[in-house]
Amino acid sequence: MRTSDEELMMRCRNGDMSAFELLVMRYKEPILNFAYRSIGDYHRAEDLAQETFIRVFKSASRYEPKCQFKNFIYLIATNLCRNEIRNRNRRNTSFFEELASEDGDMDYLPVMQDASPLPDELYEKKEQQAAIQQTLNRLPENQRLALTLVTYQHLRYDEISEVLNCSVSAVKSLIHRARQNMRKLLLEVGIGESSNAKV
Amino acid sequence: MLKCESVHPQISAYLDREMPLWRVQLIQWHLKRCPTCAHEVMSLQQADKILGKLEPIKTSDSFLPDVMRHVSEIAVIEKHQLPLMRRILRKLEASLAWARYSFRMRTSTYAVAFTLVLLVMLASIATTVYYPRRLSLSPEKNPILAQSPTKGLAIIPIEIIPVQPPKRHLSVDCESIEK
Repeated sequence: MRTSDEELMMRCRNGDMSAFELLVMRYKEPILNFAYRSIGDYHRAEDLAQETFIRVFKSASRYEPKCQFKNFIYLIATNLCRNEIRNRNRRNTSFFEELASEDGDMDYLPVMQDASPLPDELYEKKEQQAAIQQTLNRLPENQRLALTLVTYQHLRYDEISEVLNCSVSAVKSLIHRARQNMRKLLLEVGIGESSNAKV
Repeated sequence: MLKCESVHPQISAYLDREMPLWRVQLIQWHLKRCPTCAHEVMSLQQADKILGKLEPIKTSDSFLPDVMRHVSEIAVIEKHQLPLMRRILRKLEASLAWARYSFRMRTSTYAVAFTLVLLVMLASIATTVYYPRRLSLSPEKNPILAQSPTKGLAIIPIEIIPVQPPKRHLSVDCESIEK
């Protein structure tokens, strides 16, 4: 039987480091993907994911299993990503602008791990994924976070409302506006131009 | 019938199936009749499909060791910095929290066990009260006899003595009697 996340967290509170290690193994990839989709920078996303786990460990001594652990960890990750987005907006830097000057960072796009034998197809796929990520980064902060949580993390609306600290109806309209904006932005960059377009 | 203005804001919730089934069916019924809304659903679905093209990424090999190293350092620092009393209190709090959590997790098991025990106890009490093993013949003690038509009459105890065949004490010689 699978031990629940809440039980692992309670064990961690009692000083069981192996329970915490198991939690990290369970959530490292979802949290990294969430951070990466939210800020669009692999290195920074990995730092934020590490910081999320460190904060979870620090707050273990005060942890009470009142809500799901999943919501708890996403709440921490969301706050960190939100701060990062705000800092980036303040500095007015875009990861993809930085990328244009540093070719090396493109290696961290997941498509590079693909073992496809055709370099042209690989390059096209890489470019398309970069364009989609760039479009996602242009969404307003809350819309981007909500859309990432529902599309990539498969959270339910009530769970997202707990993470974003708003009502379910607010989440509903946030996600709807995010999808509408995403469609508009994708059309601007020429992805999914018509219903028959190749995506 | 639903109007387009009420369907449009619900399209995302419809795509994510974040509504009751009856509402999903209502919207489906509307979409079959309204090409504008059907197109809107299709275009949002397409945007979602494009977003789904982004592949998941993996953590670097050093991710887990790095996190565990950081966390161990924090644990050591906390151990040295916190005063002894504070550490004892924290340990005590953690143990209490664990006890509370385990009790809460097993509440349903405890409730079922308690209900079963209660039912067994009630059943045994009911058996003892309503089905006494020895029926008393005295009308004062036995309510059934008190209500019977023989109420007030004296009951004479009868001793039944089983009839036994007579024992043979003498042996008779039949030939000598005939002579």
